[in-house]
Amino acid sequence: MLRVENLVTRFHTYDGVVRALEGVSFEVREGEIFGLVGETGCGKSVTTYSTLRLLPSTGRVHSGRITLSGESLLDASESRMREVRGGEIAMIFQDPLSALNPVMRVGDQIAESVWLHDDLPDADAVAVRVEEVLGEVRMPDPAGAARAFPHELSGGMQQRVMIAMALAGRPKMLIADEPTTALDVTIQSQVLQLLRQLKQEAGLTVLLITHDLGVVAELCDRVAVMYAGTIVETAPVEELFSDPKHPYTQGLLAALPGASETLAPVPGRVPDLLAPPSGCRFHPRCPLAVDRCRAEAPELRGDTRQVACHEVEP
Amino acid sequence: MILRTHGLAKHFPIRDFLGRVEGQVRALDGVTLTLPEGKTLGIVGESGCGKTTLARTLLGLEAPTAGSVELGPALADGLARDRLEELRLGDLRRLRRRIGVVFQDPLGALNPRMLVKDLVTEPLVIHGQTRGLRDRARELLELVGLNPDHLYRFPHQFSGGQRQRIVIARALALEPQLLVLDEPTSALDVSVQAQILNLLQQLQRRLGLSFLFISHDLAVVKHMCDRVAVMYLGRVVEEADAAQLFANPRHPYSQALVSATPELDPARRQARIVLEGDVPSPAAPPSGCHFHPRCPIAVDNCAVEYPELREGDGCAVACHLV
Ligand SMILES: Nc1ncnc2c1ncn2[C@@H]1O[C@H](COP(=O)(O)OP(=O)(O)OP(=O)(O)O)[C@@H](O)[C@H]1O
Ligand SMILES: Nc1ncnc2c1ncn2[C@@H]1O[C@H](COP(=O)(O)OP(=O)(O)OP(=O)(O)O)[C@@H](O)[C@H]1O
Ligand code: SF4
Ligand SMILES: [Mg+2]
Ligand SMILES: [Mg+2]
Repeated sequence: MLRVENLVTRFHTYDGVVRALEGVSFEVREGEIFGLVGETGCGKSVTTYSTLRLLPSTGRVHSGRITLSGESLLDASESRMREVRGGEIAMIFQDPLSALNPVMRVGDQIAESVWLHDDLPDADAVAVRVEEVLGEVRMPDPAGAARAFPHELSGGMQQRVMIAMALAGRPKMLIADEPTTALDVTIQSQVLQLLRQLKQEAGLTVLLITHDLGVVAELCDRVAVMYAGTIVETAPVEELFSDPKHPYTQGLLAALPGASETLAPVPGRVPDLLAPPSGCRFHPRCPLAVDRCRAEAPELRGDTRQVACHEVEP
Repeated sequence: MILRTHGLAKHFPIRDFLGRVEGQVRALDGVTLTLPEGKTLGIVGESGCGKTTLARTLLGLEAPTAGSVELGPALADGLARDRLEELRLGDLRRLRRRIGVVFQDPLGALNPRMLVKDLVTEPLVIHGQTRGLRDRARELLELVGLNPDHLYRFPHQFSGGQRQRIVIARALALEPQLLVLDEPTSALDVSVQAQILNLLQQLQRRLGLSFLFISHDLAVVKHMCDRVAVMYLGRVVEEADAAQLFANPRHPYSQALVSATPELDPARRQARIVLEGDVPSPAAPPSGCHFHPRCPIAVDNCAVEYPELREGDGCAVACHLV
């Protein structure tokens, strides 16, 4: 459904050029939950902003292709992009409160999305549709919630409202950027269950962005691991955890509490993207690195499993 | 035992716009728990359940509304009293030297205009020491695995993980017996978190420290702690050995919490206990057992009577039905 190929995005700042994405490729298939996972600053959000063409003025997509069901998004007109955003692709963000209008009733905010993307005859039909979407996100009292202001709802309910707004335009795909990071565990588990149900019952396609491997294990069908602006590995979720191939993925899993008795930190630190390492961006921290890794960036190779590494076969 | 609390309560007044008290936030509402010496006690619970308030009260930064903090011999040594709330100012200052603290907010913890040398020795200066500060600073940096030659740098010249090491070095400056760690790795990435958790374990072994380890991340708590207390709305609902709590949680809330924690093995995705509703506000906690509106097994009495924390075979549970 969504295919990203060799995406290169850079920011032009006073300090120099931030090479945020360097050849990012992945594909989200219809009806699946695809996870994009990686540590802070690896480029997850920049990938989605590039996809929806929402980069700030300092940011630019240098090269690459992004296609939605075959249509090139990088070549689409700005008015077409407005249709795509919220229409075909809806987005929800980490902090629900900052994305909601504090002085507008929740129902009216959802109604705006409905008006924008649905051809309904009158206000009554819109109101019915608003309650319907609030029901779809399992809001306990949809009619009551529609009359509430955002601050009157708890964090978990606010995130449901965000999801309801996203679903109001009947999107084909939902991009969820850290949808549960701000939530408590028991509330997180409610939202994860909701996303799972929406996928199963409504066939929703989801691109889930997260730094939390637990959430990935819990929810995703397939997953791509990002490191410093590159995709290092793509795999069906079971295989990623049972048989990680890329040295970075292996390092990440070994550093996770719960995996083993002693934690093995990944040595070194994430590179500065103003001056990223030559060749493979992981080479300064990699236990397998050879000369070739310093000189040449490895390509993402493979089929159902893909790995970008000179020393490992997919 | 390094420390024990008995029915510890801390209520914050809620004032209306004229400054009149119109209610109370019951941040701590009768917390009873025991911190074993040389071990790690984990405190888990969701946002607002009172974890930070508990830490602040144990540090003497908040005066408890009710209840008592009993100090073990290691902390009470040489003090006139062994109850925190009965200590006079001089003794309170001496006690403060024995309890180090790493607070939640990673950005606010370090003054950006101070040199690392001054940051890590600040507690010594506050307690009146003026000599040998540079040598002590080098020692402390070495202790937490930082390069002692970096004394004259500013915090922004360090990565997030290194800054957390500076915070830990400062907490150790006065050679405390007990370290209170409030979400010490919540702001860090997994690969860096692993470094800090390993460092803390090494320090505990080397210095024989006791830890009070606050976190909402159950995987981290399971990895770090010997015992765990689960809090819900200002109360401890269960206290048990970590291994037992995670393998066999007794209280329905602990069960839901353990069950809600994402499993790392996708093959073991299981039916989760998904709790209905949200955590109520501590300004208006539900009657009886605070957990009853969300509890899957609640009976009529749960809404009426508060279940006391009852002890039995190495654990304590506050539930009418367990
Ligand atoms: N407007 C900008 N100007 C300059 N650099 C930027 C800008 N936005 C992002 N970057 C850089 O691009 C890189 C990727 O950032 P991005 O926000 O995509 O990370 P992320 O993976 O979403 O991280 P997080 O998990 O913290 O949200 C980072 O190094 C960041 O500093
Ligand atoms: N100084 C204060 N005045 C009034 N209310 C307070 C004060 N400090 C804390 N509270 C309230 O007490 C309750 C417990 O807060 P506390 O910070 O201890 O929670 P916590 O468990 O540490 O949460 P988190 O996981 O979000 O850090 C909250 O409802 C909070 O709003
Ligand atoms: S390409 Fe080389 S440096 Fe990069 S991960 Fe593979 S072995 Fe390590
Ligand atoms: Mg982001
Ligand atoms: Mg706190």
